[in-house]
Amino acid sequence: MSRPLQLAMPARRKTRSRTAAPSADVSFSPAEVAAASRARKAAKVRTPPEVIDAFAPSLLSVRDVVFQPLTLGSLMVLERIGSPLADENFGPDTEVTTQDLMAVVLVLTRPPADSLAILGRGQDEWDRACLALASRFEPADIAALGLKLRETFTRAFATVIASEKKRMTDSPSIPPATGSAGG
Amino acid sequence: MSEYGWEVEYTLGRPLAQAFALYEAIKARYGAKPAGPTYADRAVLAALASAKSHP
Repeated sequence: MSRPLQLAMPARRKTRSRTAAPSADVSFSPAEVAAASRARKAAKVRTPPEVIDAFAPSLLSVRDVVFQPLTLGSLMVLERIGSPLADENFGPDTEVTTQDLMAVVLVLTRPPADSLAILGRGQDEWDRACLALASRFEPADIAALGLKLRETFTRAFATVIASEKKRMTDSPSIPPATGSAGG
Repeated sequence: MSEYGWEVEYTLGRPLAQAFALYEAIKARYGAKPAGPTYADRAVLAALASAKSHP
């Protein structure tokens, strides 16, 4: 059996207090090194999958409702209606109602100008449009809707290069809808 | 955006993932240091994780 490669991180320079920082040992098996090497070589000659998804996306759908990718315009409409999914503090504890989900579906299934036109006709018209959309789904579809919306938002931010701390929506988890409003 | 000839309406209609990819490409073109793992780094990390879980 071959011995795993040992990659030792160099210890930091001595500090003024003369306390040496502990060194972190990271070991990789030959198979892991080979896999990483193959991936590095492939990355040099292939378009990154995130970029392919951005420019040639496979569209997500639930039943016959197809979601368009999230655009800056659609994100602004979501902010305009105060959608919790467009809130920067969105997290696992955020309450999302069925009406909130339907509003996002409404925005993602038409150009932003159309959504703004519905909004311009008043809140009642907006609610009616959400209700009409909700009638196209069965209650059992709500979980699938949540998953597809999460995927839509994840894909929208997949090409951001940021540190883990700064990452906006690495893997947003949409909590189950409460069903307290809408369809 | 005017530097690239993009109208506001056109920009608003671009998928966010495209906008971010172009933004990262422009930053790289001008020599900005990436703020985190690049696409290639992520591919390597994913391959390592996959090799770890499927030895």
